[in-house]
Amino acid sequence: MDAKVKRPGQEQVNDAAYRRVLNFYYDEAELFDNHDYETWLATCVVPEIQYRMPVRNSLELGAKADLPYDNGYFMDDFNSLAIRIQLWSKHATTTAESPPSITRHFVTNIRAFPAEQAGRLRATSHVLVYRTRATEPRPYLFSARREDLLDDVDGMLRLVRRDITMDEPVVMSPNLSFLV
Amino acid sequence: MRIDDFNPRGPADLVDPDTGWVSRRVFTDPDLFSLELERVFAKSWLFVGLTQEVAKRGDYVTRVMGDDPVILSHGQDGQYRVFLNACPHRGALVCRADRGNSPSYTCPYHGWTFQNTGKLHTAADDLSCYKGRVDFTHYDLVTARTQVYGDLVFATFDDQLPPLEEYLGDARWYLDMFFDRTPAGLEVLGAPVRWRARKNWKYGAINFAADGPHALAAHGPITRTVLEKFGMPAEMLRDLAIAGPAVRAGNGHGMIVVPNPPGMPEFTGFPPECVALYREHLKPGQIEVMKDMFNGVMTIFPNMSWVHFPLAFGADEPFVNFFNLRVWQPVSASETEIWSWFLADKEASEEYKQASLRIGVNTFTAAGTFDQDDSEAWAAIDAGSRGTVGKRMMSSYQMILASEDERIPNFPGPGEAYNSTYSEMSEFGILLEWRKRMEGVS
Repeated sequence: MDAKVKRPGQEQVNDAAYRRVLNFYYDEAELFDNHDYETWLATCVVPEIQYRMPVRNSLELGAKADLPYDNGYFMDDFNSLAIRIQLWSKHATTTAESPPSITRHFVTNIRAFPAEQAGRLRATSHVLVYRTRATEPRPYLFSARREDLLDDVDGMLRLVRRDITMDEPVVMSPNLSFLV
Repeated sequence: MRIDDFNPRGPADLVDPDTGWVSRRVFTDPDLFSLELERVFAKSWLFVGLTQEVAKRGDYVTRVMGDDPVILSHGQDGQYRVFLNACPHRGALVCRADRGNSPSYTCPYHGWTFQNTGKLHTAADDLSCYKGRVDFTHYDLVTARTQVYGDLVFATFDDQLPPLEEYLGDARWYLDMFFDRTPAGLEVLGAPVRWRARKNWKYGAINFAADGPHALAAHGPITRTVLEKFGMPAEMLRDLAIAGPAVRAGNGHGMIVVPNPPGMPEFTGFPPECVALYREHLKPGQIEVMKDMFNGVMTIFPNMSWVHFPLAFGADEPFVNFFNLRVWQPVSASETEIWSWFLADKEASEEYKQASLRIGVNTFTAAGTFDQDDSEAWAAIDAGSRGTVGKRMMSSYQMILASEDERIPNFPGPGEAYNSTYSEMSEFGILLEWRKRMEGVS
């Protein structure tokens, strides 16, 4: 065994902190699946939230995405998330989500680490969304990895930043009118 | 197979120029879809990318023309070329990444290698094994006719098509308003995003040619949410859309302009640092249209489209234009892969470009607050048009009957401009061109 090679994912937070991160993700998933995005926005994010999902390309082995701009699917702050969420609420009856799509979020591979800044945690997770839309009974699977920076103040975890790495270069669903 | 085979009463029953009725089979029939790949896509100049996406020698991106995979290459000799992405030996893709940089492409099957100029470099065996009985000059990559307009690369595998400039024709006047309005031109903001919509490709092309009234229906909630904050109630937007021109720019190309509301400053949403450049670079007529353009949407026949208008999500943020360029790639009669880029004037500030990209991503991608609605509306059209009885029905473009005599006199641009983005004149123009092509009349 080569002692110089270190397996990634070491130095995670203690069990009590891990438990809280786990609960945070399960709470979030339940709010998403209940279409209660308003409560999610009110309780799960800080006002400075950055929520991003750039395009994923299929590149040659070892090649890096080195473009000066990240085109993508989400590039949101609190304000734009609030607009999305208002559109998906029962008051707006937005075409895309009326009737609402049926989703189930499966969150796995959760790991949590101390962040450089005090009062914060870093966490990574995998998410699989099983989704059917009103116009299409065939379910669509959406798979991604999330890299989160979490605020941990007064016993409350809240998202400061979420970077989503999607697992397909072409989104195989007509739209992505949901959050992960 | 001829178009008449689908209907004994002739092509007029599929797209009727006189009444504006269109058979729903035009959008759902798999046989018509196969035929249009040959008669429309294989016989059109198709947009494949921007030269700046392959800025350095050796750069390539893989793209699609109709249902054929292609490579846009910047060769070691400095030339831009488009190749059929298929090994001349047995047909395998020779390039399988979305983009990269390489002096050559290698077939994954027998390892045949091609220079990025298309030339065969090495075959599996020493060529002498063929005992001189095989002509290897026929083993280069199949190269499309490739023409660059501004920074836009178009290609076709058809030898008979007129040159690109002629194909674009009068549409160039409008195209230049968007793509050639400053000395440095446009900057592409990242790689294209791609998603699969459940609909025929023509719904996208027609919608962007363009459809005025859907803005307040399909996009009602987002339109009201975003614009009412800026003192543009829905009724005002409707009136402006009704007032804006719909242009048939020839060869099926079509566009609409929704003008600025009264009192809105000229060039609202454009980068202020670029306005003087537009005035120097464009013709007076183009400036006349652009200075009061709130929303500009256009389709270059068959499947290249763009949409351009100012938005802001925060009440304290200024209006910023986003500029979304896209192609509607046909996958099947009821599936379309949308490829979508964002662009901004190169001379605009870095801050403006970031803001423009952000508002674009928030509105016009698979997750966009506008596109999410189109996708669902189009999927609903497809679902409602596919049935045994449903496909016997006709889709209506009958607003043309109220609009044909509404030609705008003295419109500053070429082509035929008609009153109102509600007129269906430019939308129906796509179908008239499609009809002409499908009849085999070129």
